[in-house]
Amino acid sequence: MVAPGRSADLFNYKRSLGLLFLMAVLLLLFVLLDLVTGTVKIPMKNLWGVFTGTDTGNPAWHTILFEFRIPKTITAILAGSALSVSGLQMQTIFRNPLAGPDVLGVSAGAGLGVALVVFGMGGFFMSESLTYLGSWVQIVAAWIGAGMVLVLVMAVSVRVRDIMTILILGILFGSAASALVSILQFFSPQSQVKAFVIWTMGNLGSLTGVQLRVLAISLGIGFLLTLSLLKVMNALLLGESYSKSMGVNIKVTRILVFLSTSLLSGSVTAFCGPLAFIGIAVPHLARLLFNTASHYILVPASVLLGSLIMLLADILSQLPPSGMLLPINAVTAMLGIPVVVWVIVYNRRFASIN
Amino acid sequence: MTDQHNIPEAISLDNLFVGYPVSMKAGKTVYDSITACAGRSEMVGVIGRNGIGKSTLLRTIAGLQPPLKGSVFLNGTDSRSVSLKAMARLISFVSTETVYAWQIKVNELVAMGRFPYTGWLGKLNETDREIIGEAVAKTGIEALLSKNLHELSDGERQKVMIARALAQDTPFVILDEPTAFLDLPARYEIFRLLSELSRHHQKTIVFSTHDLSMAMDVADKLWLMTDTGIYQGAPEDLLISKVFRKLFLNSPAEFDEKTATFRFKRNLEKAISVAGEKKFRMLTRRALERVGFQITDDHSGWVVKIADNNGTPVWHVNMNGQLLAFDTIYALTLYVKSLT
Repeated sequence: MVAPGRSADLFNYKRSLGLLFLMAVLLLLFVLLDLVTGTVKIPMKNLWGVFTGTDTGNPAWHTILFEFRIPKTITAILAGSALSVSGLQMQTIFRNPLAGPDVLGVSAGAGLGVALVVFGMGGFFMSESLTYLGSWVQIVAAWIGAGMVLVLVMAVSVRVRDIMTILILGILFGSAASALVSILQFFSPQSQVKAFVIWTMGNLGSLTGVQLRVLAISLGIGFLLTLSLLKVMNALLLGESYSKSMGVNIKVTRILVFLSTSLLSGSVTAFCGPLAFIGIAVPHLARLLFNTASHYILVPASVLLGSLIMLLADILSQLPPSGMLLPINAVTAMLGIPVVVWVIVYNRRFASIN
Repeated sequence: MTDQHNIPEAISLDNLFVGYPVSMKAGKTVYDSITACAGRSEMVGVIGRNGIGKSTLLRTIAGLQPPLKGSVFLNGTDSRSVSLKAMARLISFVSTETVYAWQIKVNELVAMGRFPYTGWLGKLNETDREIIGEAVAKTGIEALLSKNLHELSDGERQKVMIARALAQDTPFVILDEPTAFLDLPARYEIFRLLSELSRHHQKTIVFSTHDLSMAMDVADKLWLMTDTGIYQGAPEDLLISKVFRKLFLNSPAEFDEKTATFRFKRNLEKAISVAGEKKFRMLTRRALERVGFQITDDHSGWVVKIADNNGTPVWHVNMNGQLLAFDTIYALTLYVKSLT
């Protein structure tokens, strides 16, 4: 009797913890790599000295490290982990392996919110973009946009059970949001349009200190919500009937998951632009590596893997030698799309949820 | 009479209307005026044609959807006054809904049955492990524990879902078509398991099925959902009151109370009688009915006589003074079909 009881433990903790530790070490390595890469190379051996202020050989290094590199690295970690966790939550609550912030049009919804702020409140936004008020207005607009698309998709997916249909509808909602954005652009001055286009390419390095703080607070709340939902999300894997029969309040859970998803993906989209394919791809990589469906493992795994991949994308975006930066959005797409293709081609049994 | 009369029924449905809420006030009734009950540690089979509302009824009893009218009483308590959390410790549910979860393992799934009892981290204590171990042992799925859910056959998956329900450790277990998609041996296994649970582990089990003969074999009681109302009773009581024929009106099947099975309605025109070896008579009649003959006891018309030729049967037909012999039923049917 002992054997089945023992093996009924939810997870293979030891192996998973070991793997998580390995990823944490790798993350540290990537952080260091990201800090030394850029147009101005800071040699790895000088990094610690510059960081602590004892290496004063090149005073510019200190400024670059603290003003640019460290905020950018923090942003990459925040954005990567938040998008990945929100993608994981969406895949669970929609029971759809291809759900993710960008695929379902959630990022586009957040973009619409941002566009309304940028274009609608143009002058105000420009002058206030460095303040807490401006930052909060921008991020809240993104949450609302993201949340509205989520509610729309949910309302549809109650009626339509077919994964592909829901995805197509998500794409349509995203297109509708983009269309509204184009109309807004048409009526806006050149400078604002340019600011918006740059935003759509995605950027990890342009956040002001204020924005970074607002982002960190918002994501903190989102992650706390996620943590409170771990057990319930495991139950949701069995579908609504089973989770309800085990005592899960579906309505409350759905609201909380949407709230945390909107917070996580909306906030990142507000400041970093629509970073494509991280949210959909990373949860699959996590499942593949850890071979589990449990959110107790998948959430920390997605945080670590998401951070790793976003840092990798950032490092890769700085590869062109001429000092040019590739748009981060393009790099994340190139990294994420193969994973999505793999999911579609090799996991045919997930093609239907009925 | 003992004081058993004061103990409420385990499940009691009181003028229950089941269906789906359409708006805040209105609902679409699927089946109305259900009054039925189930005793403690009884096994109740719910029978009815497709779409009559078996699933809706079971989901309503399990608390997955609210009654539109009337009440479900569980051990005498109106289910409306039971919280979602308390309900999870009272009733477990098994449906035919396929679980699509990536990389979910059998042991993880069974352990999820402990959901209503564990804390935020879902950590299992000794009691939890013991109950999970028992659920695994009762359903005999030890060998499957480390497999992924999608590696299992339909029968194995159903056993795993039942094990999960057992891990939930509830006095009531509701199963919506637990044997759908299963082959015959797997169906027997599931039903044997369920009847064991009700007999020896004091579970009150309500299940729906299309497998009438098996349900009649195992159920203490049937709830027969017909288009003219719900009938309840021991399968044999329902046989006596001849309500089975109300199950499928306007269908090509008719219920034969003698054999307790459904069979094709036939338009039998020609009469024939069967005599001789008793042990082969039933099969011979069956075959003759299939090819359109009415079996009579009147031996003045066509007669099939079965003779025993050292253990192997021979069928004789006397036709215009000529005695024909057939050594298989098939040859016999070929011949009688040519008679018109």
